[in-house]
Amino acid sequence: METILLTIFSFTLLFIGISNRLNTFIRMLTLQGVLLFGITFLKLTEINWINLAVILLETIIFKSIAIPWFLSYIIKKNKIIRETEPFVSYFWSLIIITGFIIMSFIISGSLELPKDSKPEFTVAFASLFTGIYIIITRKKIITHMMGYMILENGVFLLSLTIGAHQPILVNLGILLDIFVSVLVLGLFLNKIGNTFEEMSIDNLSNLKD
Amino acid sequence: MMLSLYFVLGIALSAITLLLRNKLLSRIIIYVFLIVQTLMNIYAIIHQGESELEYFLFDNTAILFLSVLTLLSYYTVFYSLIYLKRNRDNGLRVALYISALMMLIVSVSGVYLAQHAGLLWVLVEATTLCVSLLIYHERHALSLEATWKYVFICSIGVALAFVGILFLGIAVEQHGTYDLTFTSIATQAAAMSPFWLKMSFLFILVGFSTKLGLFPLQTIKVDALTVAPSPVGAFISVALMNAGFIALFRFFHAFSFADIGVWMSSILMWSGLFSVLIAAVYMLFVGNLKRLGAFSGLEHIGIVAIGLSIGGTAYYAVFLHLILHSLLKSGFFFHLGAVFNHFQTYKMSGIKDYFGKHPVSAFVLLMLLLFLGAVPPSGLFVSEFLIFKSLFVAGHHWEMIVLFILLTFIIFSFTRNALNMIFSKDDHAVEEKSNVVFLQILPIILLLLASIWLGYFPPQAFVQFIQNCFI
Repeated sequence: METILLTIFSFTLLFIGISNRLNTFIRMLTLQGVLLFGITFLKLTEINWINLAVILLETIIFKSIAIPWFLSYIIKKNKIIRETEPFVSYFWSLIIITGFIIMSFIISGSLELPKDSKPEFTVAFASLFTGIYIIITRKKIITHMMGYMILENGVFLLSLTIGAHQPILVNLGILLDIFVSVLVLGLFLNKIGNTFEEMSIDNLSNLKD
Repeated sequence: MMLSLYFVLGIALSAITLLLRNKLLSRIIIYVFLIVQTLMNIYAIIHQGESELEYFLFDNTAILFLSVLTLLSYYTVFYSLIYLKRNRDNGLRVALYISALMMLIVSVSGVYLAQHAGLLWVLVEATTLCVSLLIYHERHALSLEATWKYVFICSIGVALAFVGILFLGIAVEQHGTYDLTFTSIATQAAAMSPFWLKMSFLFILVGFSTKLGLFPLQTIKVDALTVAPSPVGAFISVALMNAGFIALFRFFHAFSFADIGVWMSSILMWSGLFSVLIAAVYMLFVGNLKRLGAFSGLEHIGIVAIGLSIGGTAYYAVFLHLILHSLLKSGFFFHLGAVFNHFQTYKMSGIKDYFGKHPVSAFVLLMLLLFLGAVPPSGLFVSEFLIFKSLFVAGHHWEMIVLFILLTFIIFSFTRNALNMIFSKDDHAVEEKSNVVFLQILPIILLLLASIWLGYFPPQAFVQFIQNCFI
């Protein structure tokens, strides 16, 4: 069951690579939140119920409802063009992300991991790489944000793999999620929309000598 | 008990400032906060070596940097109040500035004292929030750009550092414990898996390099310092760098009990050399005084990383270097407030015939630039000399030669820029009046003198105190 969820998770990564509309992106983030909810539910059976409740709340409410809602609100409010505007064509993105997934399999296959955590580890790594790749190859600030969300989902999954015995690490991961997302989204995306005509990174290259 | 009181008071005072949004009350509150900070520092010195709230420890390293921080917060408050008065900000902005500054001081103190890997990481994360508020203070397009970059790259850095801590978690778990305090890691590191410790160190170095301003994620700190108000620049160029250093040093020190010391050293050495290289190249073309200061910070943290990688006797030099750099670099940024007041610009091309117009202020700027370039009688000369000596003794001859050449370039850039600003003729001189008083320059002269004193005539107790840091 868990393996199925993880497989779907890696399909979302591939789908993100070829989606050309921001709405698809947001839907995939929602789906990832729900998948993380399922994985947590199946994986963390040993920890106490308060911790489990917090984690489940975070995945379902925060990752799959609040953040996607806020992102689409910003897109509407700032009238962002709905294309993702990549630097690299979708075909190559697909190939590269597939490469990341294969690479993650090789990495986690060669490592000495805690038992029963190889699948999570693989998907987490693929998600980390994909997040960074999306940040590098997309033009808009909002797609950078989404890339960061993917990266964070990867970090969250990674914290789940060792969180069964060390719940403090999972809780810290949640703290990272909430803290950083609230900070970045709340404080700045609104302002950037107001100050710059279009939310593109081309506007962010004035600081130099 | 005192420590929890300190955290509660710090948070409460900054919350009150935000709620009241009154200029005068904000001023009073920050004075109260300074008293609290001083009392906490004295308490830490008295209770040296004791731990509190389970995960905080008043060890020598923490006390040393905490004392520098307290001194620095006095300076920062003094110059911030001058800055805010001159800027004529409204009550809300003053309140935001002061409450973010207080939270920053509290979280940096927390970073110095923290003894648990996770807790340390949380506190480092907290500094990001406060710093982003402070560098956004002037609210123009450039500061928005710098703030966005700072927040975004710092978030990535913080996430990577977290991955490092997760890897540390794997190493600890494989060994059969779940304890992430540094003392426990240090005692058991020898038996842990070297592979996971190496991975952990790599991710933590990259993650915290945003705070240190070290290669590879050094750029955002330079941008942040370019737009930050000068007192804030002084504070974050020094206190935040020290915080990042302490965070890295705790992990480095704990991991050095495992069998990966040589590997970590080579990583630090390369990171340091690249930092100095980047600083030397950029400083040749730099046009803005604040960026000059920022790149000089990159150079010094590079030297610190190199010193840390040698270990042994170089540890004393590293700590001395950090403390002297704290005094001089903060002095430089504080003095920029006066420079801006004279010339209304930070661009070096706009500053001409400084000596003819304002001799005292120009002399101080010249001294600061020379001292930052580690020209004697700067105390930094002593610490750099000691680092070079240990490089030579440890047999890193090539690294030493490269570092020598790079430092020559850096001293060249410093002196060229200083001479251009201070002694060049100004053809279009206009009568300017400035309201910089001598009281504003005197504290900086004291910092210069203190750096000479600590470099050349360090009290025996001070030397002993630093050497007790690494037992």
